[in-house]
Amino acid sequence: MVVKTDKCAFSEFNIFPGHGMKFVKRDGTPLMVISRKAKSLMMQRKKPAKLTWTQRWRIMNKKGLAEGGVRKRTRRVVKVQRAIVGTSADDIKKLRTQKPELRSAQREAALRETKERNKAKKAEKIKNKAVAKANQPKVKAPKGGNKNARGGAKR
Amino acid sequence: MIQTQTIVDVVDNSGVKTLRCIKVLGGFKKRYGVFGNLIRASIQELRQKGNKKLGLKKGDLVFAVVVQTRSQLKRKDGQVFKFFKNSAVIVDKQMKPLATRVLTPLCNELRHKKSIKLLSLAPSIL
Repeated sequence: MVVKTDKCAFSEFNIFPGHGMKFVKRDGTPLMVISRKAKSLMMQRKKPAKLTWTQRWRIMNKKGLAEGGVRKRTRRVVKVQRAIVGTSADDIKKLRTQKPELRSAQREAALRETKERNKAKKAEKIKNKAVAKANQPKVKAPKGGNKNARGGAKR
Repeated sequence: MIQTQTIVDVVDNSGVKTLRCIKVLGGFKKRYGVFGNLIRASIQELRQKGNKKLGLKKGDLVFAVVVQTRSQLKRKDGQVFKFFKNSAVIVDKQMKPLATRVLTPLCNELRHKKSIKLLSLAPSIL
């Protein structure tokens, strides 16, 4: 069970149920006060920021929160290579460690090969087309208007 | 604690500013009125912008429910509860409010004393 606590309007201490006094101001805002000391000081209109025992003063003077200058550590993300579909992790690592010259040489070789292949393909296509044209008889396209026309005003 | 001759503020839009308690009702020889008690009171002061519908005048006798007191109220959980002024709301004999609005937050104790209508009019409940 969670105990519902209030905060003192003057000292900002936690107030547990059954303790403290509640005052309701003229405008209707309730003020919870933990002790007679806090109440009397509040009635005298003292500023809690000027009293060293209040929570307000401690926050303003940076007490008790982060002492010893502990720095926040940022978490670093560690990359782990995993196997992708066909290739295993070791293969990927090998590829990664290859020298750039070797890789570029490989790439060039591959490009050259594909180019040659494409050239051969093109030449074959042209040949095939020429043969097909020679064989096909010439047929004119039938005349006639657009069948899908909706019969608008004729010009 | 409200007794005869106590001057009480009015916290509704009835157009009345202050009342003077004449009698605390409810019980034989009842001395002091607390939250939710009915009192008989006479109108002392009116506000400048009065409620013409109700037509209350100075010196009229009215019933009122005590809503806030300066003296302490102790709740069952040990909490102490206090307001900075004595105030009341004008009602009729059946505890129905004459005005249409309550201006201050009310405390939960009124619920047990048959004045739920008042609580529903209040801006907030403490």
